Amino acid sequence: MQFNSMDFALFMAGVFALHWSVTRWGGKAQNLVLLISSVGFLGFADIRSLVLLAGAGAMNFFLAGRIAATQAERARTLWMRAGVVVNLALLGWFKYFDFFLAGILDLLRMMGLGGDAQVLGILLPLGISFYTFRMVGYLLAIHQEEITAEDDPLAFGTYVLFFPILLAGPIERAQRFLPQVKTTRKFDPALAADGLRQVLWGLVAKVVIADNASQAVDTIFLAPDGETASTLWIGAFLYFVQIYCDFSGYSNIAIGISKLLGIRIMVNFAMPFFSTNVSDFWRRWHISLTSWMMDHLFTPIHFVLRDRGRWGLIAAVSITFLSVGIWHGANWTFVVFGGLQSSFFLPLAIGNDVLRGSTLRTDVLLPTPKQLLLMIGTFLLMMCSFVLLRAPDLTSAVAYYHGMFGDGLLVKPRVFPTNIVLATLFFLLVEWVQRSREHGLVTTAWPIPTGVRWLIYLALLFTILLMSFTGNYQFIYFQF
Amino acid sequence: MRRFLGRCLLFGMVALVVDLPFRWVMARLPGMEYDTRLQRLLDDRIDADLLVLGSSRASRDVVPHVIEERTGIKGFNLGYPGCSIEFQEFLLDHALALSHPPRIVLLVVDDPALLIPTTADFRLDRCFPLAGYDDVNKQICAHTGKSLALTQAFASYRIKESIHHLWDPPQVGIYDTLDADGAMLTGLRSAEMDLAVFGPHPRKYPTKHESPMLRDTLLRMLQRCKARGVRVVIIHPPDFREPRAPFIERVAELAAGKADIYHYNSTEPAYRDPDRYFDMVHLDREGAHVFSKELAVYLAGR
Repeated sequence: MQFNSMDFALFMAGVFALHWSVTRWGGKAQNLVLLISSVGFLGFADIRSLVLLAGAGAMNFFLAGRIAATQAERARTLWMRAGVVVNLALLGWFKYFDFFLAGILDLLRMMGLGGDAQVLGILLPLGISFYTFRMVGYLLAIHQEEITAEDDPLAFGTYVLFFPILLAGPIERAQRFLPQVKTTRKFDPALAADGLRQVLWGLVAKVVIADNASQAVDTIFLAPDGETASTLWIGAFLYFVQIYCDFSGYSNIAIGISKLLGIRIMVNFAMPFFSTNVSDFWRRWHISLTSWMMDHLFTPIHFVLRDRGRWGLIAAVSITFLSVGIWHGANWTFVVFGGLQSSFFLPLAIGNDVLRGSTLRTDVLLPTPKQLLLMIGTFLLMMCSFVLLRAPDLTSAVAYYHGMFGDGLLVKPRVFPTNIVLATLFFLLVEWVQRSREHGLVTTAWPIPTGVRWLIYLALLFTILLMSFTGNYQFIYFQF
Repeated sequence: MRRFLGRCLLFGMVALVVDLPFRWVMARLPGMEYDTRLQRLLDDRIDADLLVLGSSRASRDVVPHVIEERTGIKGFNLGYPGCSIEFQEFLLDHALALSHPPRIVLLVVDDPALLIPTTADFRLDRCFPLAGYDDVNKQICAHTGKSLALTQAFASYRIKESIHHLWDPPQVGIYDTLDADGAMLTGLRSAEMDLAVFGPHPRKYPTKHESPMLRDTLLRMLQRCKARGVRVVIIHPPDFREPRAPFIERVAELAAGKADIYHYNSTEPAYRDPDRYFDMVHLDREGAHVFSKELAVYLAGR
């Protein structure tokens, strides 16, 4: 069930009604509704993934209990490491084993060995990348005594399988989520209304912009050879827009749905297209992943290598960004993507500019000329690097880049979906105006009557109805 | 909670009211079409004893009024260029439900698009302007994944693929001229016709590439006609290339006991004259007249 389907809308209506109707029986009853709904949601999508994640969830529940119950520091650490290794091993097996096996087989064939051996064709369980990071983060948080191990299987199961964030994040922290499900949630109309607005905004991004942009993107990336440079730049721009609108749209829908159920989930995107440098970009893009990487990878590695000075910093940054790249999938393009991000980030890190926040003020309408240049420069740099996420392999990526900087930069692009470009510009304009808010449709602070507000919502609703792509495009980050 | 739900309900009702003008647009869209054959079929405004079904080889090669002049059998051509056998089944189902259903169906077949998936498709572009018709809307939803429930609630969503016709009316292509009997004949010659490359069909017909779905569709059509007492004649139309015997045999195998089969007279000199062709597999207007006269002789004799 995709979030932008009628089936899901009916499912969600049922879950909403049931969840709030059992409030009088307390938080446990509410959690039971969420858990059963989540089991149904995942089971409907893929029963094997449900079995795997439920089993892994039970394992993590046990391991967390062992970490918490063990007094000796060394034993605690051993239990934690065992948990981390098992979780990552599961991820490694399902997501990366075939990739490494293919590489080994290619090497053997080059040496005249290997014969007809083939990869295993291991199927990727739904949501495993996001789920694994949540579980590893949970075990680490218990080990570091940031939280206590959850002893209520119902609450823990709700966290493990919570359907809005199960398949494509955000990678919510247990420290934020579990306290919310340990109490009875009271219906908050303001939160629920904001949730609906956020879902609407997410649908605009996904259905109107991302899905329609995908047509042009597929056309251009299918056969980039022979395309003019101008067309390839349009393709890179549209893909950057597509992946942002697709992923941020999904995140907004997931967060909005959670608000309807009285649960707050972390923000995953903070208008990254207005970043003024690479560090700023990675603080605004897929925040749940980058903050996880920062807390659980960069900081510990940097701490261990603190005596190595600048080289320790370089190693920490490089390992972190390579991990970000590899997290996206088993392909050399993702490895190179991670390496590229690392190379963009390192000058800022070495120059101690990493933690410098965005200089964009939120109380003025226009950026300064310098800020505008920085935003455009950062946008173009990141847009070019994201070609690696779309290209099927390194050879195609290199060919694409070669074409982008080849002939025909000033000729009219062969593909130029005017409607989508205009819709994108409008979308970005709204996000610019709302850049200090959680999402583009936080309208409560606007000094306008309710009727005008409703007109805006109706206009967006009918834009979705009229411009939704007739076809079936899945959320991009499902494949990660 | 009550107030929240009340406001949601009110918003929904306002949305439905705002959607009402789109229902007026939905009613207007079919009238903006040049090719009204599908609408006439859905409105039960086709009165013919003979129906021609198929892709462009039907629409360009068979002229019903020529058949009528020689046999007295009134005919109508419902051939659509580029359409698959699925679309032809959809048309046939509605034709059999007419108040005056056909007695004879000429099913013009395409080698290899009849049973092997190619670029032939359901011709949703013909369906979109008629999304106001429930049967058409169901087909659109089935083929595109649109939500049937949402199309029934919101006319705007139902007609979104063709609403642009309001300000960008459909244009008639130079190859899409339509005669009163439904035939789409042309006096033009395709720029792509290259006589140097014509030659015999490959000898093999790859049965393993057949789509079970397309095959079952054909069999269903034949069975349905047989059950209704409608005579089906499968037509192998003229082709500038040599006919492919394995394909002809395969069609005969599938149609055995359910349909007659007519193969064009390959000795007819007109079919060896490149000037009688629009391109290698479609006749031009004069060529279509020659073939239709031939069909008329066959039908009169049977």
